[in-house]
Amino acid sequence: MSKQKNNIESILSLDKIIHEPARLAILTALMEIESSDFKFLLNVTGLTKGNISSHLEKLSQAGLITIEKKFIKKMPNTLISLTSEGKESIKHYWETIKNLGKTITKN
Amino acid sequence: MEETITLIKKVREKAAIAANPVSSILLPMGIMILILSFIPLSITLEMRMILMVLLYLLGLAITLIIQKYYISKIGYAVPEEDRISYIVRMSGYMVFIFFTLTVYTFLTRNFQQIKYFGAALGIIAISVSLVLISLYIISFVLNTLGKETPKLNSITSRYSTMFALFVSLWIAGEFFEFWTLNDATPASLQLFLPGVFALGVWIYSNKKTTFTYGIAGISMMIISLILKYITVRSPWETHPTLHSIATRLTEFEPFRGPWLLIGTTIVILGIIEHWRVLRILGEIKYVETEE
Repeated sequence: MSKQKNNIESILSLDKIIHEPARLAILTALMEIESSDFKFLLNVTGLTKGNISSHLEKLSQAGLITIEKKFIKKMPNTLISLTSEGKESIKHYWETIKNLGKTITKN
Repeated sequence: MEETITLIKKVREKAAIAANPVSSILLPMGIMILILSFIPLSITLEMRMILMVLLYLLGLAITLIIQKYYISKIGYAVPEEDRISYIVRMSGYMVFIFFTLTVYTFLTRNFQQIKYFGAALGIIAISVSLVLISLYIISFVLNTLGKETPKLNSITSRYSTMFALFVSLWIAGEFFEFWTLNDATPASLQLFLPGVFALGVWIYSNKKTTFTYGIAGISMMIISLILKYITVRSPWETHPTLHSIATRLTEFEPFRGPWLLIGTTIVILGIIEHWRVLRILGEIKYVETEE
Protein backbone atom coordinates (compact mmCIF):
# COMPACT_ATOMS: atom_id res chain seq x y z
CA MET A 1 0.00 0.00 0.00
CA SER A 2 2.79 2.42 0.92
CA LYS A 3 4.63 1.59 -2.33
CA GLN A 4 1.45 2.40 -4.25
CA LYS A 5 1.16 5.66 -2.33
CA ASN A 6 4.76 6.50 -3.19
CA ASN A 7 4.11 5.82 -6.87
CA ILE A 8 1.08 8.09 -6.88
CA GLU A 9 3.08 10.78 -5.11
CA SER A 10 5.86 10.44 -7.70
CA ILE A 11 3.33 10.79 -10.54
CA LEU A 12 1.76 13.84 -8.92
CA SER A 13 5.15 15.43 -8.30
CA LEU A 14 6.09 15.28 -12.01
CA ASP A 15 6.75 18.76 -13.36
CA LYS A 16 3.69 19.69 -15.44
CA ILE A 17 5.74 22.02 -17.62
CA ILE A 18 7.98 19.11 -18.66
CA HIS A 19 5.34 16.37 -18.66
CA GLU A 20 3.38 17.79 -21.62
CA PRO A 21 4.33 15.60 -24.70
CA ALA A 22 5.36 18.40 -27.09
CA ARG A 23 7.51 20.15 -24.49
CA LEU A 24 8.94 16.81 -23.44
CA ALA A 25 9.90 16.16 -27.07
CA ILE A 26 11.58 19.57 -27.34
CA LEU A 27 13.52 19.15 -24.09
CA THR A 28 14.57 15.57 -24.91
CA ALA A 29 15.80 16.62 -28.36
CA LEU A 30 17.78 19.45 -26.75
CA MET A 31 19.33 16.93 -24.33
CA GLU A 32 21.22 15.40 -27.24
CA ILE A 33 22.74 18.62 -28.50
CA GLU A 34 24.39 21.77 -27.25
CA SER A 35 22.09 24.15 -29.16
CA SER A 36 19.92 24.19 -32.26
CA ASP A 37 18.05 26.56 -34.49
CA PHE A 38 14.26 26.71 -34.85
CA LYS A 39 14.24 24.70 -38.10
CA PHE A 40 16.12 21.81 -36.55
CA LEU A 41 13.62 21.56 -33.69
CA LEU A 42 10.75 21.72 -36.18
CA ASN A 43 12.25 18.82 -38.10
CA VAL A 44 13.07 16.55 -35.21
CA THR A 45 9.86 17.06 -33.23
CA GLY A 46 7.43 17.28 -36.13
CA LEU A 47 5.52 20.11 -34.44
CA THR A 48 3.97 23.05 -36.31
CA LYS A 49 5.63 26.49 -36.22
CA GLY A 50 2.95 28.11 -34.07
CA ASN A 51 2.82 25.20 -31.69
CA ILE A 52 6.56 25.07 -31.18
CA SER A 53 6.74 28.85 -30.66
CA SER A 54 4.21 28.81 -27.84
CA HIS A 55 5.90 25.83 -26.15
CA LEU A 56 9.32 27.45 -26.42
CA GLU A 57 7.94 30.59 -24.82
CA LYS A 58 6.58 28.58 -21.87
CA LEU A 59 9.82 26.67 -21.44
CA SER A 60 11.79 29.89 -21.55
CA GLN A 61 9.53 31.51 -18.93
CA ALA A 62 10.08 28.48 -16.70
CA GLY A 63 13.84 29.02 -17.04
CA LEU A 64 14.43 25.64 -18.67
CA ILE A 65 15.76 26.95 -22.00
CA THR A 66 17.44 30.06 -23.39
CA ILE A 67 16.34 31.60 -26.67
CA GLU A 68 18.87 33.73 -28.50
CA LYS A 69 17.59 35.72 -31.47
CA LYS A 70 20.01 37.13 -34.04
CA PHE A 71 20.41 37.86 -37.76
CA ILE A 72 22.60 35.82 -40.12
CA LYS A 73 22.96 37.55 -43.52
CA LYS A 74 19.82 39.62 -42.80
CA MET A 75 17.88 36.42 -42.07
CA PRO A 76 16.42 35.96 -38.57
CA ASN A 77 17.95 33.08 -36.65
CA THR A 78 16.79 31.66 -33.33
CA LEU A 79 19.20 29.58 -31.30
CA ILE A 80 17.75 27.43 -28.53
CA SER A 81 19.62 25.62 -25.78
CA LEU A 82 18.92 24.06 -22.39
CA THR A 83 19.84 26.00 -19.26
CA SER A 84 21.68 24.12 -16.51
CA GLU A 85 18.37 24.01 -14.62
CA GLY A 86 16.70 22.61 -17.74
CA LYS A 87 19.37 19.92 -18.08
CA GLU A 88 18.91 18.87 -14.46
CA SER A 89 15.11 18.92 -14.65
CA ILE A 90 14.79 16.81 -17.79
CA LYS A 91 17.37 14.35 -16.47
CA HIS A 92 15.47 14.11 -13.17
CA TYR A 93 12.17 13.67 -15.04
CA TRP A 94 13.42 10.68 -17.06
CA GLU A 95 14.98 9.11 -13.97
CA THR A 96 11.64 9.38 -12.14
CA ILE A 97 9.76 7.86 -15.10
CA LYS A 98 12.32 5.06 -15.35
CA ASN A 99 12.06 4.23 -11.63
CA LEU A 100 8.28 4.44 -11.72
CA GLY A 101 8.22 2.02 -14.65
CA LYS A 102 10.42 -0.40 -12.72
CA THR A 103 8.34 -0.39 -9.51
CA ILE A 104 5.03 -0.61 -11.36
CA THR A 105 6.22 -3.63 -13.39
CA LYS A 106 7.49 -5.33 -10.21
CA ASN A 107 4.17 -4.81 -8.45
CA MET B 1 1.93 7.30 -21.94
CA GLU B 2 3.77 4.35 -23.47
CA GLU B 3 3.07 5.70 -26.95
CA THR B 4 4.39 9.10 -25.96
CA ILE B 5 7.58 7.57 -24.55
CA THR B 6 8.16 5.59 -27.78
CA LEU B 7 7.64 8.76 -29.77
CA ILE B 8 9.99 10.78 -27.58
CA LYS B 9 12.61 8.02 -27.87
CA LYS B 10 12.39 8.42 -31.64
CA VAL B 11 12.75 12.20 -31.33
CA ARG B 12 15.85 11.71 -29.22
CA GLU B 13 17.39 9.28 -31.69
CA LYS B 14 16.52 11.57 -34.56
CA ALA B 15 18.12 14.58 -32.86
CA ALA B 16 21.30 12.61 -32.13
CA ILE B 17 21.68 11.38 -35.72
CA ALA B 18 20.52 14.56 -37.48
CA ALA B 19 22.72 16.86 -35.36
CA ASN B 20 25.81 14.94 -36.29
CA PRO B 21 25.55 13.71 -39.89
CA VAL B 22 28.81 11.77 -40.06
CA SER B 23 28.35 11.23 -43.80
CA SER B 24 29.52 14.83 -44.37
CA ILE B 25 32.94 13.64 -43.25
CA LEU B 26 32.83 10.01 -44.32
CA LEU B 27 31.94 10.67 -47.97
CA PRO B 28 34.78 13.12 -48.78
CA MET B 29 37.21 11.03 -46.73
CA GLY B 30 36.30 7.89 -48.69
CA ILE B 31 36.42 9.67 -52.06
CA MET B 32 39.86 11.13 -51.25
CA ILE B 33 41.26 7.71 -50.28
CA LEU B 34 39.72 6.17 -53.42
CA ILE B 35 41.30 8.74 -55.73
CA LEU B 36 44.58 8.53 -53.87
CA SER B 37 44.66 4.77 -54.38
CA PHE B 38 44.62 5.30 -58.15
CA ILE B 39 47.44 7.83 -58.33
CA PRO B 40 50.25 5.84 -59.94
CA LEU B 41 53.54 5.73 -58.08
CA SER B 42 55.40 6.43 -61.34
CA ILE B 43 54.18 10.03 -61.90
CA THR B 44 56.54 12.94 -61.29
CA LEU B 45 56.99 14.48 -57.88
CA GLU B 46 55.59 17.87 -59.01
CA MET B 47 52.52 16.21 -60.46
CA ARG B 48 51.95 14.30 -57.21
CA MET B 49 52.16 17.50 -55.19
CA ILE B 50 49.63 19.26 -57.44
CA LEU B 51 47.32 16.25 -57.22
CA MET B 52 47.58 16.18 -53.42
CA VAL B 53 46.63 19.85 -53.14
CA LEU B 54 43.74 19.42 -55.61
CA LEU B 55 42.56 16.34 -53.75
CA TYR B 56 42.62 18.15 -50.43
CA LEU B 57 40.63 21.07 -51.89
CA LEU B 58 38.17 18.62 -53.44
CA GLY B 59 37.64 16.90 -50.09
CA LEU B 60 37.10 20.24 -48.39
CA ALA B 61 34.63 21.35 -51.08
CA ILE B 62 32.62 18.11 -50.84
CA THR B 63 32.45 18.47 -47.03
CA LEU B 64 31.19 22.06 -47.28
CA ILE B 65 28.60 21.20 -49.96
CA ILE B 66 27.22 18.27 -47.93
CA GLN B 67 27.13 20.35 -44.73
CA LYS B 68 25.31 23.18 -46.52
CA TYR B 69 22.82 20.66 -47.88
CA TYR B 70 22.13 19.27 -44.41
CA ILE B 71 21.71 22.74 -42.90
CA SER B 72 19.17 23.69 -45.58
CA LYS B 73 17.33 20.39 -45.20
CA ILE B 74 17.45 19.71 -41.45
CA GLY B 75 18.39 22.99 -39.86
CA TYR B 76 21.39 23.77 -37.74
CA ALA B 77 22.38 22.12 -34.49
CA VAL B 78 25.60 22.18 -32.52
CA PRO B 79 26.21 18.61 -31.48
CA GLU B 80 27.41 18.03 -27.96
CA GLU B 81 31.08 17.12 -27.85
CA ASP B 82 30.16 13.51 -27.37
CA ARG B 83 32.06 10.35 -28.12
CA ILE B 84 30.80 10.12 -31.70
CA SER B 85 31.80 13.61 -32.80
CA TYR B 86 35.07 13.09 -30.96
CA ILE B 87 35.73 9.86 -32.85
CA VAL B 88 34.82 11.42 -36.19
CA ARG B 89 37.04 14.42 -35.48
CA MET B 90 39.92 12.18 -34.49
CA SER B 91 39.46 10.10 -37.65
CA GLY B 92 39.80 13.35 -39.59
CA TYR B 93 43.07 14.07 -37.80
CA MET B 94 44.29 10.61 -38.64
CA VAL B 95 43.63 11.12 -42.34
CA PHE B 96 45.51 14.40 -42.04
CA ILE B 97 48.48 12.55 -40.48
CA PHE B 98 48.50 10.06 -43.36
CA PHE B 99 48.33 12.88 -45.87
CA THR B 100 51.23 14.68 -44.25
CA LEU B 101 53.16 11.48 -44.18
CA THR B 102 52.44 10.74 -47.84
CA VAL B 103 53.45 14.27 -48.85
CA TYR B 104 56.58 13.88 -46.77
CA THR B 105 57.40 10.59 -48.51
CA PHE B 106 56.84 12.17 -51.90
CA LEU B 107 58.98 15.16 -51.02
CA THR B 108 61.93 13.42 -49.48
CA ARG B 109 61.84 10.04 -51.18
CA ASN B 110 64.15 9.16 -48.39
CA PHE B 111 62.89 5.85 -47.11
CA GLN B 112 65.51 5.64 -44.40
CA GLN B 113 64.24 8.95 -42.98
CA ILE B 114 60.57 8.01 -43.27
CA LYS B 115 61.33 4.76 -41.51
CA TYR B 116 62.45 6.58 -38.34
CA PHE B 117 59.75 9.26 -38.63
CA GLY B 118 57.08 6.57 -38.92
CA ALA B 119 58.49 4.56 -36.05
CA ALA B 120 58.64 7.68 -33.84
CA LEU B 121 54.97 8.52 -34.54
CA GLY B 122 53.97 4.90 -33.93
CA ILE B 123 55.79 4.89 -30.58
CA ILE B 124 54.13 8.20 -29.55
CA ALA B 125 50.66 6.83 -30.44
CA ILE B 126 51.20 3.63 -28.49
CA SER B 127 52.69 5.49 -25.45
CA VAL B 128 49.71 7.88 -25.29
CA SER B 129 47.28 4.99 -25.36
CA LEU B 130 49.26 3.09 -22.70
CA VAL B 131 49.18 6.16 -20.40
CA LEU B 132 45.41 6.51 -20.97
CA ILE B 133 44.79 2.84 -20.27
CA SER B 134 46.86 2.99 -17.04
CA LEU B 135 44.98 6.11 -15.89
CA TYR B 136 41.71 4.39 -16.73
CA ILE B 137 42.64 1.36 -14.59
CA ILE B 138 43.68 3.68 -11.69
CA SER B 139 40.40 5.64 -11.86
CA PHE B 140 38.42 2.39 -12.12
CA VAL B 141 40.11 0.97 -9.00
CA LEU B 142 39.66 4.24 -7.05
CA ASN B 143 35.99 4.47 -8.05
CA THR B 144 35.43 0.86 -7.00
CA LEU B 145 36.96 1.71 -3.62
CA GLY B 146 34.43 4.52 -3.30
CA LYS B 147 36.71 7.46 -4.05
CA GLU B 148 35.37 10.02 -6.51
CA THR B 149 37.76 11.09 -9.25
CA PRO B 150 35.77 13.36 -11.60
CA LYS B 151 38.81 14.97 -13.26
CA LEU B 152 40.50 11.65 -13.89
CA ASN B 153 37.23 10.21 -15.18
CA SER B 154 36.78 13.00 -17.69
CA ILE B 155 40.28 12.39 -19.08
CA THR B 156 39.98 8.64 -19.12
CA SER B 157 36.44 8.01 -20.26
CA ARG B 158 35.98 4.46 -21.49
CA TYR B 159 35.46 5.73 -25.00
CA SER B 160 38.54 7.90 -25.33
CA THR B 161 40.67 5.10 -23.87
CA MET B 162 39.30 2.50 -26.23
CA PHE B 163 39.56 4.94 -29.09
CA ALA B 164 43.22 5.61 -28.29
CA LEU B 165 43.84 1.88 -28.29
CA PHE B 166 42.26 1.39 -31.70
CA VAL B 167 44.04 4.39 -33.18
CA SER B 168 47.32 3.02 -31.89
CA LEU B 169 46.57 -0.34 -33.46
CA TRP B 170 45.84 1.30 -36.77
CA ILE B 171 48.81 3.65 -36.71
CA ALA B 172 51.10 0.86 -35.54
CA GLY B 173 49.90 -1.28 -38.48
CA GLU B 174 50.47 1.56 -40.94
CA PHE B 175 53.94 2.32 -39.65
CA PHE B 176 54.84 -1.31 -39.58
CA GLU B 177 54.68 -1.03 -43.35
CA PHE B 178 57.09 1.91 -43.38
CA TRP B 179 59.36 0.16 -40.95
CA THR B 180 59.59 -3.12 -42.81
CA LEU B 181 59.25 -1.44 -46.24
CA ASN B 182 57.50 -4.61 -47.21
CA ASP B 183 54.44 -4.09 -49.39
CA ALA B 184 53.15 -7.63 -49.18
CA THR B 185 53.00 -8.10 -45.39
CA PRO B 186 50.63 -5.38 -44.23
CA ALA B 187 48.18 -5.47 -47.16
CA SER B 188 45.54 -7.51 -45.36
CA LEU B 189 46.64 -6.03 -42.02
CA GLN B 190 45.87 -2.57 -43.41
CA LEU B 191 42.32 -3.66 -43.90
CA PHE B 192 42.03 -5.75 -40.76
CA LEU B 193 43.09 -3.06 -38.26
CA PRO B 194 40.68 -0.35 -39.49
CA GLY B 195 38.07 -3.11 -39.30
CA VAL B 196 38.92 -3.69 -35.63
CA PHE B 197 38.77 0.06 -35.10
CA ALA B 198 35.34 0.43 -36.72
CA LEU B 199 33.97 -2.54 -34.79
CA GLY B 200 35.37 -1.10 -31.56
CA VAL B 201 33.70 2.25 -32.21
CA TRP B 202 30.41 0.45 -32.60
CA ILE B 203 30.80 -1.70 -29.49
CA TYR B 204 31.95 1.12 -27.22
CA SER B 205 29.61 3.90 -28.34
CA ASN B 206 25.93 4.45 -28.89
CA LYS B 207 25.04 1.38 -30.97
CA LYS B 208 22.04 2.99 -32.63
CA THR B 209 23.96 5.93 -34.04
CA THR B 210 27.04 3.96 -35.08
CA PHE B 211 25.64 0.71 -36.40
CA THR B 212 27.18 1.30 -39.85
CA TYR B 213 30.61 1.26 -38.19
CA GLY B 214 29.84 -2.19 -36.85
CA ILE B 215 28.81 -3.49 -40.27
CA ALA B 216 31.89 -1.92 -41.89
CA GLY B 217 34.19 -3.30 -39.20
CA ILE B 218 32.92 -6.86 -39.50
CA SER B 219 32.98 -6.77 -43.34
CA MET B 220 36.51 -5.31 -43.47
CA MET B 221 37.80 -7.97 -41.09
CA ILE B 222 36.11 -10.76 -43.03
CA ILE B 223 37.36 -9.44 -46.41
CA SER B 224 40.92 -9.12 -45.08
CA LEU B 225 40.85 -12.69 -43.75
CA ILE B 226 39.48 -14.01 -47.08
CA LEU B 227 42.17 -12.08 -48.98
CA LYS B 228 44.84 -13.43 -46.69
CA TYR B 229 43.49 -16.97 -47.08
CA ILE B 230 43.48 -16.75 -50.89
CA THR B 231 46.80 -14.97 -51.36
CA VAL B 232 48.87 -17.29 -49.19
CA ARG B 233 47.72 -20.23 -51.27
CA SER B 234 48.81 -21.04 -54.80
CA PRO B 235 46.42 -20.14 -57.70
CA TRP B 236 45.50 -23.77 -58.37
CA GLU B 237 44.62 -24.34 -54.73
CA THR B 238 41.86 -21.73 -54.89
CA HIS B 239 40.88 -20.42 -58.34
CA PRO B 240 43.17 -18.66 -60.85
CA THR B 241 40.86 -15.66 -61.44
CA LEU B 242 39.99 -15.32 -57.76
CA HIS B 243 43.65 -15.57 -56.86
CA SER B 244 44.58 -12.92 -59.40
CA ILE B 245 41.88 -10.50 -58.08
CA ALA B 246 42.90 -11.10 -54.45
CA THR B 247 46.57 -10.58 -55.28
CA ARG B 248 45.71 -7.36 -57.13
CA LEU B 249 43.77 -6.07 -54.14
CA THR B 250 46.61 -6.70 -51.72
CA GLU B 251 49.27 -5.18 -53.96
CA PHE B 252 50.30 -1.55 -54.26
CA GLU B 253 50.81 -1.55 -58.04
CA PRO B 254 49.23 -0.51 -60.40
CA PHE B 255 46.89 0.85 -57.71
CA ARG B 256 47.00 0.57 -53.93
CA GLY B 257 44.66 -2.35 -53.36
CA PRO B 258 44.05 -2.01 -49.60
CA TRP B 259 43.44 1.74 -49.96
CA LEU B 260 40.94 1.02 -52.69
CA LEU B 261 39.04 -1.34 -50.38
CA ILE B 262 39.17 1.05 -47.40
CA GLY B 263 38.04 3.98 -49.60
CA THR B 264 35.16 1.94 -51.04
CA THR B 265 34.06 0.84 -47.56
CA ILE B 266 34.12 4.43 -46.23
CA VAL B 267 32.12 5.69 -49.25
CA ILE B 268 29.51 2.92 -48.77
CA LEU B 269 29.41 3.80 -45.06
CA GLY B 270 28.85 7.48 -45.92
CA ILE B 271 26.01 6.62 -48.32
CA ILE B 272 24.32 4.40 -45.69
CA GLU B 273 24.64 7.16 -43.07
CA HIS B 274 23.23 9.71 -45.53
CA TRP B 275 20.28 7.43 -46.26
CA ARG B 276 19.66 7.00 -42.52
CA VAL B 277 19.54 10.76 -41.92
CA LEU B 278 17.08 11.25 -44.78
CA ARG B 279 14.97 8.27 -43.69
CA ILE B 280 14.57 9.38 -40.07
CA LEU B 281 13.62 12.88 -41.19
CA GLY B 282 10.32 11.64 -42.54
CA GLU B 283 9.62 9.37 -39.57
CA ILE B 284 7.93 11.69 -37.07
CA LYS B 285 5.13 13.77 -38.45
CA TYR B 286 3.31 15.12 -35.47
CA VAL B 287 3.61 15.07 -31.72
CA GLU B 288 0.17 15.17 -30.15
CA THR B 289 -0.25 18.03 -27.77
CA GLU B 290 -2.96 19.07 -25.38
CA GLU B 291 -3.17 22.44 -23.70
